[in-house]
Parts: sequence; structure tokens; C-alpha cells
Amino acid sequence: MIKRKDQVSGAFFFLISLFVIQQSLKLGLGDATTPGPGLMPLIWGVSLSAFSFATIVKACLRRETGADTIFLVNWVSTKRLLLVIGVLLIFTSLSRFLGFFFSIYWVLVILFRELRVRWWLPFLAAGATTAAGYLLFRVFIKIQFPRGLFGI
Amino acid sequence: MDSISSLWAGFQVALTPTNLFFCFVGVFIGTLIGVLPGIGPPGALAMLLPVTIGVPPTSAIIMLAGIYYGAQYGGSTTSILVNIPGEASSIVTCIDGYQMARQGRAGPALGISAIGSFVAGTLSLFFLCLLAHPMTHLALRFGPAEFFGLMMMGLIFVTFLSSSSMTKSLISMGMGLILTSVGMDIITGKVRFGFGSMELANGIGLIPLAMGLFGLGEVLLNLETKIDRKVFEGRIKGVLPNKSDLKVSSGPILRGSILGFFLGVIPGGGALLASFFSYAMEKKLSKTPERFGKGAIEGVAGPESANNSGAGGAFVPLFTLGIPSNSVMAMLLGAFILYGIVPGPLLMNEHPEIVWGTIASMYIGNVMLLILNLPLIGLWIQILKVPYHALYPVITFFMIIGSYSLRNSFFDVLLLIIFGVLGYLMKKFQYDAAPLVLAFVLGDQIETAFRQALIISAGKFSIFVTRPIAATFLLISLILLLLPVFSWIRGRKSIVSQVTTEGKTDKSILG
Repeated sequence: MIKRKDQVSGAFFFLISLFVIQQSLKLGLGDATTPGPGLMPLIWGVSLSAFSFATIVKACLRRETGADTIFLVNWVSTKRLLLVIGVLLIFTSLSRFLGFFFSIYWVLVILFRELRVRWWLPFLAAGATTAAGYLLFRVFIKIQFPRGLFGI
Repeated sequence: MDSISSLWAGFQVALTPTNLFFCFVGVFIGTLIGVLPGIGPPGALAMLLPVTIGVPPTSAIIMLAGIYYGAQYGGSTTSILVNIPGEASSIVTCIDGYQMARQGRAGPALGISAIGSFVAGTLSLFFLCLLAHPMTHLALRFGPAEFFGLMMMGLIFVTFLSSSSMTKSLISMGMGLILTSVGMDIITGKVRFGFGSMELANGIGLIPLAMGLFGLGEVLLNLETKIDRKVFEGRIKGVLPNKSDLKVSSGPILRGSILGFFLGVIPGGGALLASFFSYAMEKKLSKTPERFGKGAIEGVAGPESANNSGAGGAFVPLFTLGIPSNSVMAMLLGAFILYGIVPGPLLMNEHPEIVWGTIASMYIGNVMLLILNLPLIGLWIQILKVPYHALYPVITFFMIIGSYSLRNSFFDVLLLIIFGVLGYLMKKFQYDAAPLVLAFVLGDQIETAFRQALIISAGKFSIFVTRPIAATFLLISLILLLLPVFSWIRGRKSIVSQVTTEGKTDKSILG
């Protein structure tokens, strides 16, 4: 399994390195007396390609037995994972319009859903956390947050 | 004499009510972070960095440093009582600490770990004071070529000592160096990897990057695994170890403190390596090594002292050279930059109140930790019982606010999510994130030093090999890079010869 993981991740980083090399050549390398903005990214890109290539080669040469899958998929945990990432992405795109603390309250209600031994507990926990954050960051540290449609 | 008078001035800074308050907050949060599995000191530092905006830099650094060494104390509590290390550096403590708890000796285990940590913390500060001035004087002689060599050596050391394979750590380092290139070029002013985005032209922030990799990545990983914490239910009696416990532990504490400090100074060394080395050393030195793993108090005293001393040692390169030796120190370096302070050898001369104030606060913090950790052990046990699904929303909430608040930017929240997913995947694919963060923090300085050295030498790359100090650093880096290659080739040769021998044997059997 590690062999496959290393091959996949090595290939991923190798592709990134090729992209970095191509972009840094476009930036301009300058010369030794006046190095250009592309010089260091080129060096890092070439190094990354060498290291990722070495990882792929090492993985290919490794003798390994056992399951040849990348992930051991556990649907329940994957669902939780995707839910958290999805909720955060929705928050990032909507909170400017709906208001920072209003949106984050609902994010917390969803994240606290496993406390639903009593139906009101996620709402209470989310409310307490949001209020504490509001007091600390908005009132005491005076950071400006978007107020949005609902003014909070 | 220099160090004594500087330390005295440091105490005057650290003993002001404001700094005492921030020191307490730091060690308290640090202990909490250490106790709670699922969030480590780098993530906690990234989360709390935005809170320190508006706070005087000295107080902020005192608090952030307190979180680091406080976490080393707290980490032992979970290792002993739950058999789950709160911190990576407390992994070794699980072995004998948990066995002691099972034998009804949780009290002495916690007690010796707190006492050892206190002694080690104090000793490491003593060494830190001794080394600070000479190291700074040495560093002042360095030019760009030497700094380039030193920083490269530091990075290679981190990858060499990393928990994952070296090639993977080098990839992680390479990614950090590439990510640091995003944004405006410091010398020509040209935007690199901006792709027309205003936000990318400003570069990637350290806070969303570190918080994503160490904080959100960890949260996502923990969502996959059920954290089963069977907290010690018995009553903890006799936290103070008896005379024989103290006698047996005094040697390991002293040895652990000295070993830990010097391993802490090495980039990539720090508290984790120190605790493992100390355990191995104590087992080797013991007349009864068979007791190790079955509740030997030396197995707790040595590593716990070593990890605290290692935490102190890690401050040496940061304060004297401006070079972080691990990801926590990288976060502190980021904090310095955020407060507009240039880290490096001039730091001690330009901002002695920060350096010596922090060093003095660490003495005070160690006393606070002793008070926090022994009588308040019941509180930490109660905190351990809080389920993870009640904790992670709060952690996520603080990370969102923290990443947004530094630049009032939702782009930073997006970066937090992206790096969170990257951090999660890196853990799944067994890549260490520490070299990435360290390279990201040092990347700008490495590039500046490299380009300055070339400009000074009128474009001669030979400057890196003709200057002896720079050449030595780069030679060490090269050796460290090549060592795994040689051992890999040797390993493959032995496999080939083994297969050949097996083949010959099979043939002889067959016929």
C-alpha cells in the first residue's frame, strides 16, 4: 500500500515541479551578477523534480505484498470529512453576504451536531462559542468582520 | 558577566504584572494543548498568533514561548494517565509512565515528570544564558554566503532527522521553498506565481499555511479515527515521589537535561529526539534494564527532563542566529516578523528586552508549571474527559477567525482550507509537514542571502566554497544528503547478494 501511495504522491509532486520549472523559465533567470526572479524557483523546482523522481523510483523498486489500494475507504469518516470541508467552503463564499458571526454560528451548529443527545445542545454550544469569539475578537481586539445582511 | 547582567535586566522585564499575566496564560494554554491530543504546539501557536496583535511584542513572545514549553509538561499527563501522548515528545513516557499508573503509581510518575521537567527547564535556561552571547558574537561575523550555508544545513538537518523518509522530507522542504516564492520578488519587485490574483501577489501567509497543515489537517485526520480515551479513574495519591524514587531519578534527570539541551540546539532535533535518546541511554546505563517497559521511574524521569531541556535548547539558534530549529520555532520567527522585528544575530543587541525578557520568563514559567501541574492534576484529568467531537468545532472556529483576522481576508480562510486538506493528505501519505513550514519561513532569507552573495562576489558561485565557514556548512549538508543514498545502495546490494545466495542454495537443493 505504501508503494502505491509513494508512486501516486511522487508523481503528483513531480508534475508540480515541472509546472514550477516552466513558470520560472518564463519569469527570467537573469545572470550570475544580477540573478532574476525565476532563478530560485527554478532551483527549487529542479530539486523538487529530482526528489519526487527519486521517491517514484524507490517506490517502484520496493518489493511489497498486500493490498494495493491508495485509501482504505471508510464511508462514514469520509462523509464527516467531506461535510467539514464543504461547510467551510460554503462559509468562505457566503459569510461576506450573510455576516461573519451569523454564518459561523450555523457552521458551528453543523459541526457540533454530534452533541445531539439533546436537540438544543448544538445550538447552545454554537451560540456560546460564537459569543465568546465575538467578545474576544470583535469587542476586545477590535477586528473588523463583515456584518452582512443581518448586521452580525 | 554579560549574561548575568542581561538576565537581571530580563527579570525586570519578565516580572512586570503584564508579562507575568501573559506568561501564565502561555503556560496554562501550553499545558492544555499538551494535555489534549489532536492539536500540537505549532497549530496552537498559529491559532493564537492573531490574538496577540496589539499586545506588546515582548509579552506576546513570552506567551507564545510559554505555550511551547508548557505543552511539554502537559504532554506527559496524557501519556501517563491515558497511554496517549499529548505531544510527540511524550511518546516515550507512555512506555513506563502508563505502566506505573497501572501499578497504582500514577502520582509519583506525574510528580517525577513535573520535577524532572522543572529541573531540566531551569538547567536548559542556564545553558542558554551561557551560549547566547558567544553564539551571537560568532554569528555577527557571518556574511550572506555563511548564512546561506547555515540555513541550508539547518533545513537538511531537519529533513535528515525527520520522522518520514528523507526523500519525502526533501519533497516537503522543496514545496515550502516553492510556496515561499509566491508573491512579489523581494529584489526586482516582479510578481511570481501570481496568476493575475491580487491576493497571490501579496504572497501566502504563514498563519493560514501553518494552521492548515498543523491544525485543520490534524482535525480532519482525527475525524477519521475514533479517539478512544480511557482516562485513569483511580484516585491519584502521593504526587510527591519518595526518597528512593528521587535517588533513582536524579541521574536520569541530570543526564536527560544535558543531552536534551544539546539535541535541542540541533535543527530538527528538539524535544522529540531528546526524549527518545534519553530513554535509550537510561536503558543502556541501567543495571536492571529488564525493568524498563514495566514501570521503571527512570524511564519517565529521563525522557521528560530531556524533552523539556530540548525545548529550551531550541531557542538558542532562534535567538542568536535567527534560525528556527523546528516548526514551533518557525512560528515564533513568523511572530517576530509579524511584530516588525528582524530576527538574527542583531536581535540581542537591538531588542535585548525581548530575548532576555523571554529567557527570564521561562524561569518564572517553569515555577508556574510546577504549581499548575501538581496540585491541578484533577483539573487536567477532567479536561481529558471532554469528547473530541465537542472540541474540534471550537478548534476549527478559532482557526477560521485566526486566519481571517490577520489580513481581514477570506482568501486566507480559503488558504487555510486548502492547506488543511494538503496537511491531511500529507499525513495520509506519510509526509512530514515540519520541513515544509520551516522551508517556507526560511525561504525568503535563503533567497536573499544567495542572491546577495552572488552580487557581492560579482556573480562567482565559488563564493560558497572559497569561504571556509560557508563551505563547511554546505559540505555537511552534502554529506547529510548523500548518507541515505549510500545506505540505500548498501541495503539493495545486501538484498541482491541475499537473493543470489538463496538462488544458489535453491539450485544446489534442486540438483
